[in-house]
Amino acid sequence: MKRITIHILSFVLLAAALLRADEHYRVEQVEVPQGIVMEVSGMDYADDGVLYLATRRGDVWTQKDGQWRRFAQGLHEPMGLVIGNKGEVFVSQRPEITQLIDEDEDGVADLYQTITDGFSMIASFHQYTYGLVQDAKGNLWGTLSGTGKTGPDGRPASAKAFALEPYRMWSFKVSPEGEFVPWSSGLRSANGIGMNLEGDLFAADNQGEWVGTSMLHHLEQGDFHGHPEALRWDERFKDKGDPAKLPIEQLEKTRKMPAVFLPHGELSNSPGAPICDTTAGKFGPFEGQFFIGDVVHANLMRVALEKVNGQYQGACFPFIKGGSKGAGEGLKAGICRLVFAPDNSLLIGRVGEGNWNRGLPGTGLQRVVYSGEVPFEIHHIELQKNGFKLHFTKALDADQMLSSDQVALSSYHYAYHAAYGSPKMELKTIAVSGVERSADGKSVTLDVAELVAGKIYQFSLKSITDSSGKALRNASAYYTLNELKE
Amino acid sequence: MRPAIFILLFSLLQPVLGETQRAEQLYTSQGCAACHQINQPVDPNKVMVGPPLAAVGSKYANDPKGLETILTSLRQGGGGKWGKNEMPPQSHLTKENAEQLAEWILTLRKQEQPGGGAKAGGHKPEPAFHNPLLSEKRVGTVVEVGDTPVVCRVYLPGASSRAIAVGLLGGISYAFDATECRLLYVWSGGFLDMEKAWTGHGGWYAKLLGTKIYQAPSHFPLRIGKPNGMSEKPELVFKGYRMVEGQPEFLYQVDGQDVAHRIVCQAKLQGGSVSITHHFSLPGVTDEVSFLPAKQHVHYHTEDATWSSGVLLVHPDKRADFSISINLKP
Repeated sequence: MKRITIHILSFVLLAAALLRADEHYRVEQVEVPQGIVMEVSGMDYADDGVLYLATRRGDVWTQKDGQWRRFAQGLHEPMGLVIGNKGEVFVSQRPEITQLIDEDEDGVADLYQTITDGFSMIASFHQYTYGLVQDAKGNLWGTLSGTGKTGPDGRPASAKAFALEPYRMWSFKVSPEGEFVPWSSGLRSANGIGMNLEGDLFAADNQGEWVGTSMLHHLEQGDFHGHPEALRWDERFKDKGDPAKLPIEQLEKTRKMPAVFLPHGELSNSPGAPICDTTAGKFGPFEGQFFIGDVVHANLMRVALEKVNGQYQGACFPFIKGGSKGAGEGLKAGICRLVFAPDNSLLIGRVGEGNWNRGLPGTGLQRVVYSGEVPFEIHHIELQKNGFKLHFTKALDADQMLSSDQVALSSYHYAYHAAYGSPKMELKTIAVSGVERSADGKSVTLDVAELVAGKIYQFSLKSITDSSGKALRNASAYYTLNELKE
Repeated sequence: MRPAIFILLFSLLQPVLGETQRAEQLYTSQGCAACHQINQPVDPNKVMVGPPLAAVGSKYANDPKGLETILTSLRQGGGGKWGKNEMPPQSHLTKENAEQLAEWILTLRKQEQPGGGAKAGGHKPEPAFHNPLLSEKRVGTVVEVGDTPVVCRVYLPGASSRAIAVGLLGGISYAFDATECRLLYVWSGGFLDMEKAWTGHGGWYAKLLGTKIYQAPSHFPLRIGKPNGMSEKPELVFKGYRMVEGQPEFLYQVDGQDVAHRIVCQAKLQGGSVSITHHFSLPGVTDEVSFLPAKQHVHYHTEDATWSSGVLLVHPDKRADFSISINLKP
C-alpha cells in the first residue's frame, strides 16, 4: 500500500512538472555577481554583444560570456540605458541624461558627460527619469514621472502624483545637440519607453489617479495622455489655473486615448518598458509586436497593434504568467526592463525596491528562450466593420465545427477620474452572432451585436484547437476600441 | 485508478484558495501593499504611507462598527485616524473585494514582538562584504571608501537636487553641487548611508556619516572678465565630470568659458589639519580671471594669484591653469 502511494505521488509530481514546462518558451535564471543588489533599471546590448546594465543603486555593469565588470558607478538612480547608433552609452539618471565614455578603452567609463539637465528636479521619492531609446536620427527619448509628495523624513505623504515642476509627467526628446524638448504630457508614471519597427514611440503608464488601469500610450508631439497635472506646462493651459479643476469634458476632449488598456489585476499593476520584437521571427511569430513585463505581477504581456483611422489601437494578451508557464523556477515578479539578446532570447531585468517595493518583487535577471516550436496563439486582432477578425499563428483544426459558444465576449471601460484606479465600468456580455473561418483556417471573423468606441472588448476562447488538436496557449485577449472602422 | 489519479492531480494543480490567501492576494494585486504593510515594520524607517493593516485590525477588532468603518474608508477614502496622510477612495475595488479585504483586515492583530515578519516583506539583511567587483565597501546600505575614491550622485543635505558626493581616502569626503558648479562642504569620518535613497520607496537623501569640517561660502567663486561685474552671478552650465586618477574633475562652463575643476582634500598627518585645494583649468582663456573669497576669515594660499580690491586676481600667465588652497585647522 505504501509503495502504491509513493508511485502515485511520484506520478503526480512528474505530471505536474511536465505540465509546468512549456515546449515553446522556457524561463531561465541568469547568473548575476554574488552579493551585488542587481536592481535592473536599464539594459541594452552593444554591437559586440556586450550587455550594458544599469541598476537603481547607480552602477552600470557590463557582461559578456558570463564575465561581469563595473563600467560606471555613482549615478543617481538611473532608470534607463540605451546603446546609441554609434555605440555610445547613454543613461537617464534622476538629475540628467548622461553619456558614459570610456576614453582610454579599458572597459571602464572615464567621462560622465551631461547631455542635458533641461528639466526640473526636486528631492522626491517619485521623481524618476525613465528611458531610454534612440531613434534613427540620433534623438534620445524618455519620460519624467510625476512628483510624489514626500514627508520631511522621505516617506511618501500621498499616493497622488504632482507636476509642480516642469516638465514632470511629460515625455521628452533630447536632440543630438543636447536640446531638451518636452514632447507629450499627462503620463503619471510611465516606467520606460519603447519604439516599434516604424520608429513610433510608446510608453506604459502605471495605474493610479486619473489612470483607471495601466495603459500603453502612443506618444506624439503635443499629445495629452490624461493626467491633468501635466497641463501646467502646456502653453494651451498656461493661464487656466489648477488643471485638475478643469471641467472633465474639456479634459476628455483634450485627452488622447491609449493604444491599449492593460487590465489591472488580470495582466498588470505596474508595467515596465515595452520592447518591440525585432528578432524577425527568431523569438516566435511576433515580429513587430510589443512585450511588456510587470513589476508587481510575475507577468509578461504581449501587445499587437493596428492602425484604424490613422490611430494605433489593438489587443493585449497574456504571454507568460509566473509559476504557470515555463520550466525551471518560472517567471518572477519585478519585471522592469526587457531586451532581446544577440541569441534572440528575451532578457528580463528585475527591479526590487523604489516605489515598487510592495512585497519586494525581487532583483536580478531571467531570460525567456524560444524553442522554435511555433505556439498556437491569437497572433493579432483586426477590427472589422461589424466585429473582429482573429488571426492565429497556426491554422485551426479543419474538422472542428466553430460556434459562437466558443467565444465569450464582454465589453467595459475604465472610468477617467481623479480617483485612484477604476473598476470595470458598464461590464456586459456581448453576443457573437456569427463565426466564420477563413479559407486557410488561420483566421476567424466574429460578427458581434454591437461595437462601441471607447470600450475594451475582452475575449475568452474555448475549445479551439489547431490541426494537431492542441489548445490555444493563451485563450484570452483584450482589444481596446478607440476608433470604429469606417 | 486512472480517474482517481487525475482528480488528485488536478486538485494539486488548481489549489483552492482559502479566504485568507485570497485576501492576501487582493492585498498585493489591488495595490494595498503600495501604502500598507500587514504587520508592524521591523525597521521604523520602513513605515509606509498608511498604517500597518494589523494595527487597523487590532483597533477595530471589538468595535461593532469596525467592518463598516473600514469599508467606508475604502469606498470614500480616509484620513485623520492614523496621521496626516489621506487615503484616496479605492474606487477600483469591487464590492466583493472590498468586503473580503475588510473582513481579512479585522482578523489581523498587532504583533508585540518586532520582527514578526510582514508577509509582504521578507527582506533579508545584506551581508557585510567588500566585493572584488566593487572598489568601495558596501555594508548593507552603508557605503565606505575602499581602495580608491568613490563618487556618488544622490540627494545630499544642504545641496540642490543635483548633488555629487565624493569620498576620498583618509576619511575625508566632500559635496559638490552640479547646479551651482561649486564645492558645498567637506566632512570627515565615514562616507554615506544610502538607506533612504536605495531601500523602501527610496529616492531620498543620503546620510552623511561623519562631521562637517568645512562649509564653503554660498557664492560661485570664479569670475571671468573685468571684475566690475563681481556681484553678478555668471551663467553656469554643468557638463559632467571626468575621472582622473580615481577622482572626478568637474567640467562646466562659466559664461561660455570651459572650466575643468579638481578638488583635492588632504588630511595632514602633522597637526591634524585638512587642506582643500581647487585646481582650475580654463583652456584658451584670455580675459581676466578672479576668485572671490569667503566673506568670513578664511586663509587662502596660492602662488598663482594676488589680492586686488578684495579678490584674488589670477596672474595673466596662470589663467589657463591655477590653484587656490585653504587650510583648516584641527
